[in-house]
Amino acid sequence: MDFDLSIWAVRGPYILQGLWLTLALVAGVLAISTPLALAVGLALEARSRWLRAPATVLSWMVRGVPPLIILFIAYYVLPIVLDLRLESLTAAIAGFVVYNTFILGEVVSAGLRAVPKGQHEAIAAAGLPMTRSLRRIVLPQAMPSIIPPYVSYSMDMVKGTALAGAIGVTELVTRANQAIVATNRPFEILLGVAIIYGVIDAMLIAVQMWSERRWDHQGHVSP
Amino acid sequence: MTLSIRKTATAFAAALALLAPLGAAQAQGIDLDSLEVSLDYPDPWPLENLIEEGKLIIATTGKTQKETFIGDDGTLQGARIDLWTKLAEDLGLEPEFVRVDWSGVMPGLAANRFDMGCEGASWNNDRLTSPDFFLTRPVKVAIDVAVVKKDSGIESLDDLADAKLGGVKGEMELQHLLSTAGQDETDALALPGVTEARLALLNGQIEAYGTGIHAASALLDGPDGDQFKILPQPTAVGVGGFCVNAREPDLLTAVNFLMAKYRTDGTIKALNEKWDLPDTSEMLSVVGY
Amino acid sequence: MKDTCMTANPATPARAHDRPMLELVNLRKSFGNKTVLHGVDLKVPAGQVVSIIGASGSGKSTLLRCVNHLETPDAGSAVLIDGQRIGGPDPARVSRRDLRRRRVEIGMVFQHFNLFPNMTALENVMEAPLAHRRGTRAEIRDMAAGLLDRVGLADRMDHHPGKLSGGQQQRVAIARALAMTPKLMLFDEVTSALDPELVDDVLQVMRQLAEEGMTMLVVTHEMAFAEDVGDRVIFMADGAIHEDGTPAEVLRNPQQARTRSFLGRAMRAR
Ligand SMILES: Nc1ncnc2c1ncn2[C@@H]1O[C@H](COP(=O)(O)OP(=O)(O)OP(=O)(O)O)[C@@H](O)[C@H]1O
Ligand SMILES: [Mg+2]
Repeated sequence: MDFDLSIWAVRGPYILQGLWLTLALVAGVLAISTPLALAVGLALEARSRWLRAPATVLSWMVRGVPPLIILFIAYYVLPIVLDLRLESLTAAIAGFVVYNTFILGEVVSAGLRAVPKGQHEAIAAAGLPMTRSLRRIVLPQAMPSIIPPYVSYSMDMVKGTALAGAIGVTELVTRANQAIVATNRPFEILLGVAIIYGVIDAMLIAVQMWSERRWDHQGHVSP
Repeated sequence: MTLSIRKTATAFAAALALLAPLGAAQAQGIDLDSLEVSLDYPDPWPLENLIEEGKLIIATTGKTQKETFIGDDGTLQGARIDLWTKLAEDLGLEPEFVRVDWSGVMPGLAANRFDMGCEGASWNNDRLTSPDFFLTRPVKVAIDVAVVKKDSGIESLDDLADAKLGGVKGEMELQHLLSTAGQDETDALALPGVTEARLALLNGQIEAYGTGIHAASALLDGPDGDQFKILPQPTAVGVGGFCVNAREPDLLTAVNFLMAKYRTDGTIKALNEKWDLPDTSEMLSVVGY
Repeated sequence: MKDTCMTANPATPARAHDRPMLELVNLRKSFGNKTVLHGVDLKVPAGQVVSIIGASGSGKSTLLRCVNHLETPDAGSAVLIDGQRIGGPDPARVSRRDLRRRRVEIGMVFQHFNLFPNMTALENVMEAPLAHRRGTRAEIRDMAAGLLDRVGLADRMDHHPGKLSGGQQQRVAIARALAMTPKLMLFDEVTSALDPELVDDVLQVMRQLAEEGMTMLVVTHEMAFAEDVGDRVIFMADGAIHEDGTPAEVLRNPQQARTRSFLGRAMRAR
């Protein structure tokens, strides 16, 4: 079978518009779900049972649902039960935000758990206020254990955005599929799409390496 | 549910009622060939239940060759797109196409997201009785066939009993192939899309691909098409039409009227020819219009 | 060496002996249904250095941690610092703000230092005064630098804990605990995690602190330190105080068989 990448000259612009949509989706979802995930992570590790219990149950429930179902709920069920008709992109962002908030919330919570108990005791013994200590002492120490899974889940998310095609977001993979149907050139188009995802992954890995250096400047206290 | 049955039945009753006096008229010696049937309709057609006023929101996959697909210029096009655009214009509405996967079309109608959808949904009992949407008059006769490789040695449906079968997941066409061959659903290879099915057939992962005559002829026209052939007997013959939001019975009436008009005035036939689709519009008289 | 707190601690106010700096009344603590402290009563006058000894599991750490409420004492217990009770009758219902206010009056030094690894030595010492707005940044910096100088780390101020030896880290931890000018200092086996050659520097800092009149509760296995620096030695067993007296009384002439056998083992172990 002949292999002819010149198909990208014709179809490239249309498919690449989907890339911007994919990136916008990822950026939007991360921007919203990161602070929410922090809140969820803190709630999961909260001393108060009234925060911890609902956060734990909710996280367990949401993470148990396949993201595609969450998207379907956002796009097809909300109009029925709440008379709320979100645009495709808005519904996709909302659905992914819900899912990622709890996925990343667990990452944050695991990171917080990785901070030695002695740190919390030192904070308490010195009478340091909670919010300030969180920002200046606990979170910086949690970062090294948060960043790698955070980046790896973000990569999953980049790939997972293809699901948004099901609710009318014409992102990268949806457009690639449309182009494949119209041209019957699956290999050329899929190869191109794989390269694009590879580049995004490489960029995320660069972000990870940079942030790991950024947060790992001190070494640790000996036990 | 009862509502949709009643609506469909009403349409047929109306068609029959029209035919009866015509039969009587012939007996009295009127030359039927010279009669101009009036197909006047209100312009604009008052539609009370549209999701957005002035707009006809139509769900389409954009992934069916010749019917609804993305062209080289990046725009949505095809025989169905043309037909829907004309339909919207004739109703005084602006068409808005939402591209969703096939799995999202019917949920979207149920969720009141789209006024219309389906690029040619085969009529079956589930769909005819669905509370979520109405089926319109058919746009095509759905002829389901089996595609095989020329060198496979498979010559007729009788040779399929032991063959590895496949098709697109969830499509009626695959079901029809399986029941014709007397095979169970679990033995088949259900693929995500047309492209995958074509490759599976090309690579020998399946020996026969159950699909519609439209998709099958597109397959033969495409790359490596000369390696394939369509078995002469169809696996099933039915009709396929569009779906209308169940909240909009007035739209169903309007669409059914215009479909009758487009079939009568040759619009459907012309579009099939324009897009090089097998034209089945003449055969639609088997369902009474 | 000091015999009584009054003569050895010129900084102590004259009235101090009639109002103890620390008073524990019926201090009880249980974890689940296991009682770890059985109603401990203890009065520590200002400026006194109390060494707490006892076998592993006897409740020494728990006692210390109850003083600053790192562990919440059981209902009915009372902890008074400088005559003021922490919270009301139920220690579990102390407000966080109240607790924070009382905790800054108590410095604590841990066995494993628990320094903040993402901050330099200086930042570790400055953190609490900054958080409690104990002055301008420059003032706090000067004060913190002064404290680090006192513990012999003037040249290590900008090092992160990971770049310091265990002994240096522990001295930073002491400076950090002193930064809020506490009325009382708690030390929980602060030399146990150190290599032997680093122990003396830390003990030297504590000795100096004792001489300056700080009230100190010191859980320790260093009998020499208890004898030389302490004003008073408490022997704990099974969550209760079994013997309480001057170092000479408790260490040289224990009244109880249990104390004798513990000391016998402790001395042999060295
Ligand atoms: N958080 C806790 N939960 C349950 N039991 C505990 C807890 N903390 C301490 N204990 C128990 O309380 C008892 C006293 O412990 P504590 O740490 O006060 O002893 P210690 O005298 O400091 O011992 P060591 O010399 O080993 O440090 C022990 O039996 C210990 O197992
Ligand atoms: Mg202990």
